[in-house]
Amino acid sequence: MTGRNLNFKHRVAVVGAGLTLFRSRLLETPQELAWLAAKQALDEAGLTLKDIDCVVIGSAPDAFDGVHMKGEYLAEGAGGIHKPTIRVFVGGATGVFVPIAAWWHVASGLCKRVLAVAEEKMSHAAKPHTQYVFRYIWDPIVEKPLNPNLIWIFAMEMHRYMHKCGVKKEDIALVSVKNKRNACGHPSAQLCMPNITVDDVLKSEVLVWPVQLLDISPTSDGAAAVVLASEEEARRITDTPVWIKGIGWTLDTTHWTNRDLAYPEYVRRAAEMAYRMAGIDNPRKQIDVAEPYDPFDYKELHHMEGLGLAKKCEAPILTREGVTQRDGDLPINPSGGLLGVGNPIAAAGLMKVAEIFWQVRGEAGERQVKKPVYTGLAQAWGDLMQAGTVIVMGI
Amino acid sequence: MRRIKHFPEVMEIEAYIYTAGPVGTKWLEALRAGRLTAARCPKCGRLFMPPKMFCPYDFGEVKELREVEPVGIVETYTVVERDFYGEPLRERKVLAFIKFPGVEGGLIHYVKTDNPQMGMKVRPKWREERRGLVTDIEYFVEI
Amino acid sequence: MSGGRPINPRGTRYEKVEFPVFEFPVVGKARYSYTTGEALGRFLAGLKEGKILGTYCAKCGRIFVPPRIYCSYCFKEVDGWLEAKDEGVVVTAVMSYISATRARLEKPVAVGVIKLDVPGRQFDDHFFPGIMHYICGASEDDVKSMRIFEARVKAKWKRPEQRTGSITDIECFEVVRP
Repeated sequence: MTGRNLNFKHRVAVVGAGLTLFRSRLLETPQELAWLAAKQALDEAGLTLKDIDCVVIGSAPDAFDGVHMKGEYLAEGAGGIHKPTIRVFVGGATGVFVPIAAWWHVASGLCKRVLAVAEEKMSHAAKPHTQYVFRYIWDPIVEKPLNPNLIWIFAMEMHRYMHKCGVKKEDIALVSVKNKRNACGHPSAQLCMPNITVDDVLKSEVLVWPVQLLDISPTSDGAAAVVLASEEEARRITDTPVWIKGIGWTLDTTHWTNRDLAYPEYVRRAAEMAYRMAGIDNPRKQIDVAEPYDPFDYKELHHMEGLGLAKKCEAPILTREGVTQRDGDLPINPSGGLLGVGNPIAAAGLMKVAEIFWQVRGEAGERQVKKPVYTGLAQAWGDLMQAGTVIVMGI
Repeated sequence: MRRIKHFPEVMEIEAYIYTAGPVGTKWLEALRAGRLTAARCPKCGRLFMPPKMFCPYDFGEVKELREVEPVGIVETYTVVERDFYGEPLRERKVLAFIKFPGVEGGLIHYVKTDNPQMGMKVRPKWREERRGLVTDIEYFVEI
Repeated sequence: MSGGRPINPRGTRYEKVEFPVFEFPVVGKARYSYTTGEALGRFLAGLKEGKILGTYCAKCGRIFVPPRIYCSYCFKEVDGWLEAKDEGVVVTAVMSYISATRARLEKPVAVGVIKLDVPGRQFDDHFFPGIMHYICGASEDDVKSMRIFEARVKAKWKRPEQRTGSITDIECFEVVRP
């Protein structure tokens, strides 16, 4: 496989993945969470820390864990001591950016086996409320003086999407129902709700209309890790390496009030970059399973369209028709997504990458989708409506 | 054209609640009981302080705490004259890094002495009322 | 189908804080003094005078409100300043029942993005001068029914002596009722 217009030394594969529980409050320290996930990923790959030559760490705002230079702080638990270690951060998009950065390490020939770890401990920022940390995200001069709550932006984007595409809340609530039910098959899940209905979502507390409590993913503590290896190493480590076929990432400006919120342009560009590298020109047909980022239920639909998995405004229809269920033609978020498994900001995206890894290998147990999986996609989104990261993996 | 050059803002994060982890919590409980302990790695046998649930040397799991003789050696120290905001302290304080024989790492704590020395032998002075925090040791004194 | 992964993910959850917490003797308060830069500096001065100012790039034709001193698309300095009208249409609007600290509000407030008018210019959805602000004169039903979309709104300014040079010199954008 060669990427078009790309010249790199080594094909890269994912050979192991690990996750901690995702819960609203975990007792382990941030380094211990990173260690739990990293150890599990190493064990699955049959490797020890000595076998790892480089480490990539991802973690979102330092203000959550409450320790600055969080990447350096986590390094010990992520196996990054006395090794080339870096931290990457693009808000929520970090979880997929971590394996992208790890890919650079291996594809360039610089490193052979890379451990990529993402961790978040949101529960540390206890008072007044974990959500308060998001106050730092706004423009300090033209937005913060209005005393905004972060949910405003999501509500505005959701409402604009609903208006432009003529989508009703009932259709969007189907995503929350699907994901929170799917999560019951995920051992790490924070919010498995096996009997949740659209009615439950529509009756939940209205926070910022049209956003209601059950439309949102929870705040969580958790960590995830994957091990990447070059082709030669990967074949030594496992019989079923999952190849990274394409990566893409894009940033837009923070001036979200100057553009149409109904369509995530930056996700489209990141996806195009990944598809070009993977040789995909018909994602709807060529992607077998996808894990788009779903901090809110409407976001899954929004991102499906940005990724080209559905035409503009078509995602709700596909959802209504059951196409995105685990036994459907294009299963979306079989893991349960952020809505069901949890949202420790940086670790959530890497959880999705781990899910695609296990889906491709047929190791997702209860969550395994019905159709055969050759190619999967994970996508994350972050910052102030601006970052898109995409990874395409498969055999 | 006129310009307004600065825009003030106050960000208030009231409180963080940090957890010590499963082994760290037990370590703090031992402090409350007036015992100084260190974590022990079952694989390499090393004792280390502060404790954590994994061994930083071989990345294996750590569950055990072993009591340590409360005899420390001042590895290095500094004399603190100013507080957090740069105001002079009423009384100078000696802040030291204290190592314990056979233990990797150690503790940073205050030593009550007018004549700090490298290599000084110290022992902890425990508070009467202990809560399960590192301040259950009020300071270290020379033996 | 083999057993599902992850196998036995670990973590110790806790419900309440039942362990001792060290209370740092100083409550964290970070005071910031953000420099506004040339663009927002003038924008704020304009607000104090009751005007909404913007900049434009002659090369791509974009108009920036809030203003920037560079065009990020052409990557060059902007070519000049202009005044946008203090009225426009609602691009999107929502009804908030919670405060910034997630407490329930006594009275819900409407907020949204307003696409501002610039004399002689039309804007499509792709790129336009727009700001976030409170919307007054809109009922919960106006928002839920989506009647608020495309509604015409006009800035309700504070009295000149009350203005400080801030986005809050505008109290809200009021729905224009015929």
